[in-house]
Amino acid sequence: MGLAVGIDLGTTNSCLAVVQGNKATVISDHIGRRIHPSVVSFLPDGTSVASYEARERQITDPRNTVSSFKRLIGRDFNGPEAMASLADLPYEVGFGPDHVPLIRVRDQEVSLPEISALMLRHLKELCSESLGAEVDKAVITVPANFNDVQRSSTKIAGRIAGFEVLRILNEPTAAALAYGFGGERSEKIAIYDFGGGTFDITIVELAGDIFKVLATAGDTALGGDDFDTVIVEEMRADFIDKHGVDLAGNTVAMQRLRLVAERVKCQLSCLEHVEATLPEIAENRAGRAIDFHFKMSKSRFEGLCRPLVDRSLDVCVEAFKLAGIDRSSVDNLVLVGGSTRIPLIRNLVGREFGVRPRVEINPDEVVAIGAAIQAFSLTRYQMSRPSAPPEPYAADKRCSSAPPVVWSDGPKGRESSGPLPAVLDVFSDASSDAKSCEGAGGEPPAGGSRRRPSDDFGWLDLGLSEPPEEPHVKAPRTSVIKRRKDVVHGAPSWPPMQQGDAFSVDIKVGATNALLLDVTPRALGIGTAGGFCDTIIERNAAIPVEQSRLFTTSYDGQTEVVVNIYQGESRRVSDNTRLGQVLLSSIRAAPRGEIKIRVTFEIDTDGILGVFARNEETGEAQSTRIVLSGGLDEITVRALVEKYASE
Amino acid sequence: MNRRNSQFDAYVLEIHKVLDQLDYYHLLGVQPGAGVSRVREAFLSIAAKFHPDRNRDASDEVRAALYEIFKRLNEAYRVLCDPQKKAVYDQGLAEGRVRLEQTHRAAGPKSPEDALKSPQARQFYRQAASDLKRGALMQAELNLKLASTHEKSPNAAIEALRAKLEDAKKQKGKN
Repeated sequence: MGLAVGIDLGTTNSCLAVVQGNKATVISDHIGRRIHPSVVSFLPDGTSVASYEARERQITDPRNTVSSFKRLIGRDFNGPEAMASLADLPYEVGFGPDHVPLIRVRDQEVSLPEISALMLRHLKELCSESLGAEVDKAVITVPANFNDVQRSSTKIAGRIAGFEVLRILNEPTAAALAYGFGGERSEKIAIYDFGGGTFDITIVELAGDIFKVLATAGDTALGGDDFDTVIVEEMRADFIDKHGVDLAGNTVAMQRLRLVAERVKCQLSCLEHVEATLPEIAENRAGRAIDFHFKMSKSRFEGLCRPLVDRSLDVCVEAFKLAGIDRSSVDNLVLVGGSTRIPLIRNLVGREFGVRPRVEINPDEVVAIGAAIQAFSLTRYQMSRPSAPPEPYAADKRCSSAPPVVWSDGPKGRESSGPLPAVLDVFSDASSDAKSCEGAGGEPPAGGSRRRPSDDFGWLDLGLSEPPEEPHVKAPRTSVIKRRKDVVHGAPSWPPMQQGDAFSVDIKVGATNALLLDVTPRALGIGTAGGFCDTIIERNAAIPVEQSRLFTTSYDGQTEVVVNIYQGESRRVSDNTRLGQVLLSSIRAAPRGEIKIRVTFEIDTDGILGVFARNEETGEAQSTRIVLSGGLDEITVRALVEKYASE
Repeated sequence: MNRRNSQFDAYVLEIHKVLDQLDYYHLLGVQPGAGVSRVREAFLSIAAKFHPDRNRDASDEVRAALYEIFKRLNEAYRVLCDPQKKAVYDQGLAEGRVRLEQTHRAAGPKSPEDALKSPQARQFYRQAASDLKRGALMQAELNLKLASTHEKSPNAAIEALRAKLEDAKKQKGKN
């Protein structure tokens, strides 16, 4: 039996962790690298490489090197997000049946779950090598706001890579788990996750070892990239002022501005002023090359960023409303995602919540660590799954003497001392021995005692207070910038990390027996006449969850009913994301309205939709087919699993 | 810790058998007057033992039963913690319905003009419909035209009314 690991399959970088001996460890490759670029490159000989080796090839072979695939996975090719992200991609994207996006590389078309699978397979091999043991199970994380198709496509990728996917886990929930809060006291944790492309806020209530997500909300169009954009716009305006030339139409120049902007952003997290020089960025009207010198102060940057941070805080307000709690009741605030390194964010968010943000665990690794903990707690019960049920260890007579049949006597007979709670209590000892194993759970969060006294909201300034007269010109000289200009950027060069250093090796695991009760981020609905959406499963409903609806034929002799499914809260389908269709077929021809079919929509513990239908008269299962926009069907998936297993 | 109690499993299967007859109060083991904190406490204590994740070593049959039970527990918890839903549920329960049956609530358009996005378009649409009713075809046509200029995207309700108007015009022409 193989090991179970946690995988944070990121847009830019991926990270792996495992729990062994009550410690969570980030798995590094043979030369000690702890994060792995999410890039896959297809070679001329028909094979492929992933991670660092693939990232090298972004420069030499950009057309056959696929990065940022997480932005495309499970997306409808015609969707606005997919289209927007296409513009920046150096490789070619096409589409197959049901709008499935396909990547065209070396005269073949590869689906996105396959590309993700190649990355995951690389990570799987890396784990096996590093741990010296077979690894065949994984918890894979996704952003909280991933929709059904994105989740199922990620799970499919895991299967193709040869993993048993134990769970598709929300990234903020994983982060909460990594911090391993806990103990007897009930507390509320807010996880503020500002990633490269999206923003999520999740509020978790912790009771003992149960993590119950109260609410999750997000803005899919708000991310760290937006900070780059405000700097780029500032640069563009500055260039117009100085040289009278608008760089907007100059793609190459704009790309260079963007690369430099990202570095300026990172530098401004620890410096008061940053200068940059972009040699020969454009030509003036006389045809002479212009060098562009650009300066930006931290306060200017923060002024520009403020609206973006405020936007994220508005989403937080929404989340608190959904959770039905006041923000002052938050006991702990966890920051996740690279953008939370920006001091302004730390300060504003900390002030807003009235608590000091927790940043001890490296934000690049915290999600993988949480996933590893969940993988561990999911498999510990499975370890010795017996082939035959064992003898009862506590032959309690009350079990048989109080059969649950008693409460089947109708809804009216509800005595206060109904047998159900009493019988449930009988089993309280079933978990007590498991509980005693998690001694670490009662300890204060591991980070608390190791904070430096100087740690405060603005600690980054203290550590790096630099003489202001020194111009920190990370001036990209001609050769440097030229070489960089067409490179799809990898990890941004953030200032040296102070946080996480003490914890970068092992994290003591406090929540090995954690039980996660998560929610579905978006409402699920069906399309009705007139472009309306009828909500079936509400937003933020605890999962697993199911709801059913009765459908009937609308004309005589109708043998097929098509149900359109949407994700989103709006009453109008046009404002929601179309997930796909459910086809009810082979219906007996009958007068309209005679046939009644009960369709049950279920969202499972992975946040993935399932649809079942039953004929109300006959009680027989009704044949159904779900077609998801941008998703692969089961037959294709099986074929892919076999194909990659035999390779 | 990894030895399963077969009586627990038998109990799970028993509950599963009668799941559709259990009302939310019995399922959670609380009294109908119980407050949110009592409901929450009951839910968490059941979740701690009955959640499918806590029973991954169980047989497939037991796990499937636990999964179904847990979905119902989530449903019960959600309803009992929401005062509005709880009120509707209690009413239904008095009539013998143990689950809160989601009927087709007001998600769809109540009247045809609800499907119009623009409030002005709705007004003109209503006017046009009443014009048509009383036979003022010219005014109906004008109002309908105004409705469609306010409503940017093509709309089924407007098209339907336009078709009716055309029919009425033809009818009038014949007479």
